[in-house]
Amino acid sequence: MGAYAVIFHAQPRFTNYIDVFIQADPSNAHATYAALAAFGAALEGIRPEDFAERGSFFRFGRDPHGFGILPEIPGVDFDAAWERRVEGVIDPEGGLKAFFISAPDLIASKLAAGRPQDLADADAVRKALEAQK
Amino acid sequence: MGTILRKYTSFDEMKADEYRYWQSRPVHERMDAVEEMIRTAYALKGWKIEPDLPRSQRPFVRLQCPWR
Repeated sequence: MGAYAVIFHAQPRFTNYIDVFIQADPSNAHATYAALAAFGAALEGIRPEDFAERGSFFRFGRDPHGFGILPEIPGVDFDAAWERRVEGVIDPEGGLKAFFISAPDLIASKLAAGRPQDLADADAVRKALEAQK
Repeated sequence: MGTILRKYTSFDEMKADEYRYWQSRPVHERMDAVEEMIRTAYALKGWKIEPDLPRSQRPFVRLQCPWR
């Protein structure tokens, strides 16, 4: 989701972070924790169950290659967004694929977030969709 | 887009062409363009992209959702 989803649905733009939207339930929280631990993230003070708590989000790394882990985003329910996700190949040599939030869900979350950049992103995605009609 | 010179009569028309171009390109090309953009922006600012820290040294922080 976030800027990389805007880039997926519209066109490249500058960003310092990759944001990942996760399902906030106990089993997925443990899976998220295990994946981050395997990646090598410094998880001192963070419990697996923290990833199931709504109301906060997590960041690590630093600009311009930072990561955000979001158990919730404004305006969008995870289960419905997961049903509508779209897939893209991000590394053709390795065949690596990634899931992206759908354009309608991305627009909804950006409008709900409401910051100037979010509104500009929502507008860009909407216009990119219109341009392809 | 290449080296073709195009004439537009509106900003919206130009942007629509940009969107059509980028959407005609593979996903990985759009992602690669971001990295190029980051490097160009940092160079223009005279900033240095610090070498990546070992993964275990990256600070992990928890923040409150600003939309709540």
